[in-house]
Amino acid sequence: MQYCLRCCYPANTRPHLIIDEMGVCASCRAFEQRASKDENYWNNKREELKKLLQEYKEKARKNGASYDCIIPVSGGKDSHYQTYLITQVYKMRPLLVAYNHGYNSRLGLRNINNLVNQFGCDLLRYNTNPKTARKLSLFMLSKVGDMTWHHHSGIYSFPFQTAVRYKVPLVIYGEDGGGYWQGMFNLDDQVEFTQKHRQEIAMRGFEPDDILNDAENKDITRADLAPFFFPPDEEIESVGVRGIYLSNYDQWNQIEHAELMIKKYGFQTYQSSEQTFNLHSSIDDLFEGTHNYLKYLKFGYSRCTDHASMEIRYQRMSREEAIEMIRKYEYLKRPKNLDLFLKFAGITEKEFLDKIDHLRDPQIWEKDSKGEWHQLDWVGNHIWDKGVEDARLPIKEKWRFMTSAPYQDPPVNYSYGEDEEIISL
Amino acid sequence: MLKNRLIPNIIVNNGHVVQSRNFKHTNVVGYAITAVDFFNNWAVDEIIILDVSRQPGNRDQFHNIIQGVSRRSFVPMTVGGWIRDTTEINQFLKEGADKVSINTEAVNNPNFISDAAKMFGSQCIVVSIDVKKNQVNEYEVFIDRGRKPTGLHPVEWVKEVEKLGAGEIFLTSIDHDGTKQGYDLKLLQQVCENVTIPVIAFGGVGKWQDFVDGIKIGKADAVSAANIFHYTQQSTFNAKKYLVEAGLNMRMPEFYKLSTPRNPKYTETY
Amino acid sequence: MLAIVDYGMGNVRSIYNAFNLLGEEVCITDDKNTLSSAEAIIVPGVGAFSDGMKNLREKNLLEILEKEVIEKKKPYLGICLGLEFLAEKSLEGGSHTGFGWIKGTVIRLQPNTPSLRVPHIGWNDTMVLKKEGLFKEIQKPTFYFLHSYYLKVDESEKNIITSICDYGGNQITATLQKDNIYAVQFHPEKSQSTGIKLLKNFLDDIRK
Repeated sequence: MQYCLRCCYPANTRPHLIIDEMGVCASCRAFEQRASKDENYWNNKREELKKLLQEYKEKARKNGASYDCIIPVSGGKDSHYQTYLITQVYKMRPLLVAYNHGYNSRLGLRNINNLVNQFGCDLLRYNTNPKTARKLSLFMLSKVGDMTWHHHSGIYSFPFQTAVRYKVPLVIYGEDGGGYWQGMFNLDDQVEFTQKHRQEIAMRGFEPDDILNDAENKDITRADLAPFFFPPDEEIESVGVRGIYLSNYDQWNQIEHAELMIKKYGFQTYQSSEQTFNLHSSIDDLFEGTHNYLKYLKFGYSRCTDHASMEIRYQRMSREEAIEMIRKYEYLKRPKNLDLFLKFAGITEKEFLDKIDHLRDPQIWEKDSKGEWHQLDWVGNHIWDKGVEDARLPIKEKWRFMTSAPYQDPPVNYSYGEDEEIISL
Repeated sequence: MLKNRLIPNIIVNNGHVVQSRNFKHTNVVGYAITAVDFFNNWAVDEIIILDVSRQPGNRDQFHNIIQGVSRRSFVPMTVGGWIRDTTEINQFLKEGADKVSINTEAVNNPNFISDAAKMFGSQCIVVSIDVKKNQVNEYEVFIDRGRKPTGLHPVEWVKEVEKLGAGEIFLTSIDHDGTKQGYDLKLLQQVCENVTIPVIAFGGVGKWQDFVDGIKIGKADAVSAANIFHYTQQSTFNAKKYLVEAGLNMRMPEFYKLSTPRNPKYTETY
Repeated sequence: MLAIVDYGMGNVRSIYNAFNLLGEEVCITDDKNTLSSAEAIIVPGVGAFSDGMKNLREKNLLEILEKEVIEKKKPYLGICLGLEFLAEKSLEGGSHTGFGWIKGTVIRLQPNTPSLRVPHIGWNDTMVLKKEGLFKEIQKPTFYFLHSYYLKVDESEKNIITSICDYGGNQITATLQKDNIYAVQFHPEKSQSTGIKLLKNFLDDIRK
């Protein structure tokens, strides 16, 4: 397996990551372009965003809509920053739209409550029931090796159903995953949301109709898939729906966002994490650990590699240190989170592993005669690869992940009316 | 009235759809089947699929892709990349291609053009011409994925190609490719004024107005682009709308969704 | 069962996919018996007229087509070359004989405006002369053309032409219908919704 000489990404990042003749991957190269932009560029972009927001606010008014725009949120640090930017800096009145996948952590719920309270925004939240969530998780586990399929599908479909229903054309996402993480696009491409990208990447190629048509589907009905149907082209065109990524208009320094949200806007974090050193990401999703483990079982790398590679690009971590992080948190590690999922799903670990057997990348995983899987390669075998020195970036600052004050679970056994925390949702 | 055509170019490198920047392909954007599906939905007039892999490598993989995508494309499809003999042309046509594009082999063996035209009809044979400005700042035709100079001037080569029986020209500016500065209108005009077969313009589109310029100023019969169509929702549909509003004679934009099930597979390679 | 004639030329897969989309049972064949029991015979075709006729002759398909379509009056749909074959002769690359089922000659396009190029490639409008039949419920008859030669029907049979496409003064026979013989010069299987609707209309018409 070929690994980037600068960060830690393997070439088998789905669909494929091209590593150039210097051994540097497309993701790092795309980031170089982002890092090269000066203050002038971002000032212009902010102006552009201001004009765009105003234009779409007027469109919404003409449609008879009451909100200026829609922000899809999960309650995480990005949701907080997006809402902060749109309401406090650009003075818009958005409708927050959330898709509740049903696997919330208590801290996650607390954060989304915080989001609504801090910025005074209305929230439209679609709640998938646990029975449906279990059905979808198990089915998509064997189809695409992702039991959180409905998370991404929900967040990239339900806001558009809302946009059409409420006639609010502008949908504002935070970061453009394809460009910011996967090296599919450069900043200059100025990509926007497309149904095409949503289908082949976020939904792993499966639309709700495909699940309904699938011969192996025994119990998933149309109602189970209700929030995932993308509105027809005609409706999108008539309302003028458009999804944009704020990372095209903002420097998107996630550490700074998170720190601002923690210090000034009540965002809370965990004090430690089982799978990565990044304490700001994916706080709301209780099964994130299992999801990351599945990525590892398919491709041989996971979230820790993503975070470490990003720190390298931001010049806050050296490649050696990054590999140490991966060794500590990810390499050959089975998360305890998996037990929680197995209990919820009602399957054994063997059943779980059997379901994704056919999805393991044969370039990384080999099955021996006893039926045990062995990992053939990982970035740790490539610390001394030729060309690493030439690809290296100088370190500019030390990496850090500021935490908030420790989160306390609300007390139980209290009497009605006394010492209660007001829960707005 | 014969309409101008809007044609997305799906660039495939080792089986994956990529962006093209001055003929360098480092950004993988997705899968061919998804691109073909959505472009069919979004009002395109034709589709081009090119294999730009550096080495011919696994031809079966590309043939597999063509077979897989042709069943979901109900607009004409032109297939190109590493086509070097009439047997392969026949194979592609059987797999669902309507036209084929030849480039390097046409220069290396010009009779290939006339042989193919005689066997399959001129209308099936598109000759693709890649042009770059050379060291003395003159237009020169390059072959082998833009790596080898030929010493030919595009106008002289295109006239030869027409005589040999090509049905259409696919003209690419390597210098403009992926740069978002618009087509090389001077090159385009020179070529269009010196042939009587249709010309498809390619290379450099950064905004919809570039398509209008390509037809009105460059005199192209059809306009093509690759990268830009992956960036926005209903991209080709919006481009078509823009062209119609600019007064050009185009097939009216409409959404066309196939009712046949997609049957996707996670491990599918196309 | 609809039968698409396989004579080694032309994009049979596309027309197969198109009928599949309509939910029809269709096969690609050169077998005498299959053609004999088919509900309708479809002859697609892209390429040189002479090569096409040669292949049909060598596979003994000329007699079968003559028997099924002319004698037994089986519905026939010819697409592109499949229309040109109906002529008495074609002047493409010399002079070659066609089926002779329609009085006329296939000649090269010679548009009188320099901006109109040959081959005729792209989407073009057709002027519909017979509204019913193939063009039922088609508001915008725009189809994809891909050819350099066209059928000039003899004066005596001009009434079989159901739509024409004017190309620089050349009156292209875009569609024709003579009893059970239907033919189109453009490619309905590549004309998206309009083309698929036309194919549906063909099926509805022959099943009336």
